Order: sequence, then structure tokens, then C-alpha cells
Amino acid sequence: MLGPSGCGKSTLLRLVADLGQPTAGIISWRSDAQPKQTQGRIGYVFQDPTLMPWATLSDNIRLPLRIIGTNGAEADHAVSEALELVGLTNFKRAHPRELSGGMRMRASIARALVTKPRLLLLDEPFAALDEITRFRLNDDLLALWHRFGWTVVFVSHSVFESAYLSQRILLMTPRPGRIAEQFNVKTPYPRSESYRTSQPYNEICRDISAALNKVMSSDPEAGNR
Amino acid sequence: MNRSRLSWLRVAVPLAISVLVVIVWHISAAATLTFILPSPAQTIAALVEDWAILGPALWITVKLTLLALLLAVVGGVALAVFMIQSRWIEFALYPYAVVLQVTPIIAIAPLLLIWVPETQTALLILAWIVAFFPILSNTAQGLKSVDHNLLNLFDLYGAGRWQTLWLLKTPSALPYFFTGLKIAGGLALIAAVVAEFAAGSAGRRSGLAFRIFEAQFLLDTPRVFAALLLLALTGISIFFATSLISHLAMRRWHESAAPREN
Repeated sequence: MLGPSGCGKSTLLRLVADLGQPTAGIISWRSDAQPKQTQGRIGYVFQDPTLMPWATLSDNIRLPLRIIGTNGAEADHAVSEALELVGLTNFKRAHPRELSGGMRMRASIARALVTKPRLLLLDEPFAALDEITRFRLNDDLLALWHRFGWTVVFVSHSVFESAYLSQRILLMTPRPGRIAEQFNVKTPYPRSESYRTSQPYNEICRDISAALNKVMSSDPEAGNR
Repeated sequence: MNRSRLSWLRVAVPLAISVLVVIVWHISAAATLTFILPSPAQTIAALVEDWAILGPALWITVKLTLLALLLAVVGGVALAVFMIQSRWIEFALYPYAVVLQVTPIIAIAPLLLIWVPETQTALLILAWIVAFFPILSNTAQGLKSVDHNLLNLFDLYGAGRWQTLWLLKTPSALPYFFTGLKIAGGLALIAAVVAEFAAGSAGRRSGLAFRIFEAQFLLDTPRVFAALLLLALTGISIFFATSLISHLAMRRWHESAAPREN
């Protein structure tokens, strides 16, 4: 989901996660997915790491399991697996304030993965990070996605990030938020650094930018933002 | 400046100032009459000589203060938890908590002394009324000041009300609670003394406030000073104790307790 700030991307994610009620329309699910989160079918990553400052990393990552009632060895195993996936095993006893922004974001992703979700909702997870860290985490995310094959809905306001990560990009208009255009990115995975400088990548970025410019110029409030 | 020198100065500077204060006090006392301003030595002497009177009185006041503080913690936290369950409960109850707080305690005292037959119980209620409000308001504020995204996360995984309270709201409220506790600790002592003044109860069960009254009546100013010294030391001890508890509880994660890196 790509669009200017305030167009309703995050609201859409919240609705998908059943954190709010749509005023109109319905949200339908594949039969083996469940909108109720009692089994941890959905992983959600916010723009901020949203960790509990008083808890260690491993306790933070264990939180979803604790809430849904998974305890004991099974939980321990899931937590250490999630820590390993994001490369934070050595920091499991650290408190969030002792870590860098990128590491906190990794911990947040590990927490979303710990329940082995089918659907991952990512709300501009890397927007607050520096570019070096963001590129690195983009690649890590692709590698994990390749391994687990979740459905991922990724909200972004970066044309380049969306072009790098996605198979399908939905461009939203400013308020009222509507889907303006859809782009299919055909470049196969695994994608890596060389993709960032390739011809197809440049083309898709150019197309999206042009479309984004078009929806922005038709917005009478654009100057106020 | 390196750290060891800094911590050394942190002890040395207040110590030097207090030595200076005692010297100035001593010189001033020498220039006036004892019943106007006793010297430091006379105050200490009074403390030692009158310990048979002051010691038990101190114990009674300290007991009253600590019991009031303990009950304030229990009552303040319980009421805060109750109030955040619903906005309507808060709307209904909070005004009364405020009324209790803003009405001067000295004005409530005569009434309570009529209503409650046991003087010590009346004193306890008076000290409690004053001490519980900062705990209530700070804890309630803390329980409501929870990161919204964390709340969303708890909703997402279907957390129940008590899970959210215990795993999320309680730790979030800790820094607020401890601020309230520090304020309440000081207020509990003040309220205990004010309540004792208002009750003016004599006999074996009278606290330091009454002993101050009594010594003033006898123009025994050194004993007044000795009693004041004990009250001040009690207040300082309570302050350090509450600060220490707060530091120990939050040193691993809260910004206030962590060393600055830059």
C-alpha cells in the first residue's frame, strides 16, 4: 500500500487486523485464515518498535504467546527461534533502551513472527530508520518472506521501497483515500542489491512516481500538507 | 570531570554546607538567649536528656506516618484501578477525591475527632486522607498513559482486561506511582503532625507534635528544637527510602534511573 500520509493506509491495516470497524463494506478472509486473533494468525509491526521498555527482549518477544496462552517449553522454543531469525540471540536479556533503532525494529519483527502468523501487516516499519539500516532490513525481510511465504501487506510512503519489495503495489489517493492504480512488479525473487540499479526497477519507479504525481496534483489540499 | 570525582563532590558539597550552617547557628545562638534560639550543642543535649519523652513520641508519630502511607498506597492504587475501569466511575468518584484533598485537613480534624472515638484512629484517617490523593491521581494518570500501539497489540492478540492491566498498564504506571509515593511520603508526615496538633492528645500515647506543644508551653526551646530535628530526620529518611525503592524498581529500564551516555 503506497500513498501520501493521511490517506488511510494505516486505517486499512487496522481494519484488516480487526482493530476497528469499517463504516461500510466487508473484509473477507481465506477460509483457513481467521479474523479473530486468538491463535496469533496475524503479525503486526508498527512504525515504532512499540516494545515494552521494562521487559527484556525475550520477554517482549514472548508477549504474544503469553497473551494467547502458550507457555513452557513450546514458548521458550518459539522465542529463541524468533530471536535467531532476526539475529538478536545475543541480546535476549537486553532491555530495549540498550539497543539501536534497527535492533529494536528487528525485535518488533521477531515479536510479530513468534506466533507463526499467516498474515503479516507492516505499517511503515522502516520509515524511522536510516537508509543503511533500512536497506539491510529490507533484504532481511525478503529473505524471511522467501523462507516462510506469509502474505504480507506492507504500508509505505516510499516509492523505492515498495518497488524493491513488492509483487503488487496499490497506489492510494490523498483524502478521500481510494485505490488509484495498481502496479505488478514482475521481477522474480530473490531480489538483491543489483536489482536496485536494474532497468526494470528504474522503470517501475518512474511509472509509480508519475502516477503519484498525478494523484497528488489533483488534490486541492496538497499545498496544505 | 570524571565519575569518581563527581560522586565524591556530591557528598562533600552538601556536607560542607551543613557544617557551615551549624557554625552560623552556633554563633547566632551565642548572641541570643537560650529560650529564643538554643545552640546546636544544647539541642543535642536536650535530645539525649529528654529521650525518655521524645523517643516514644517519635515512635508514635513514625508509626502513624508509615501506617497512613501504607494504607494510602493500598487505597490509592485500588481506587485508581477501579476508576480506570470506566470513564463513568471516574467522573462519579474523582470530584470527591478532589474535595477531600483540597479541604484543609486541619478543618476536617475536629469533626473526625467527634465522630471517631479512638483518637489514634482519627489521626490515622486524617493522615491517610492527605497521603492517598497523590497516589491515586498519579497512579490513575499512569494507568491511562499507556502507549497506544501497545494497547493495539494487546487487542490484536485478544488480551483480556486483567491481562492488559497486569502485563501492560501496571508497569506503565510505575514511574507515575513512584512520583506519587515520594510526594505522599512527605505529606503523610506533615499530615500526621498537623493531625496530632489538632487532636492535642496528651498522655503516654502522644506523638512528637504534642511534645512540641508541651515544650513550647514550658518555654523549653531546646526540646522544641530536638523534636524538630527528629521530625526533619524522619522526613529525610522517608524521602530517601521512597527514592531508593523507586530506583531499585526501575533502574533497568526507566530513563530517570539510567546513566546518560553523552
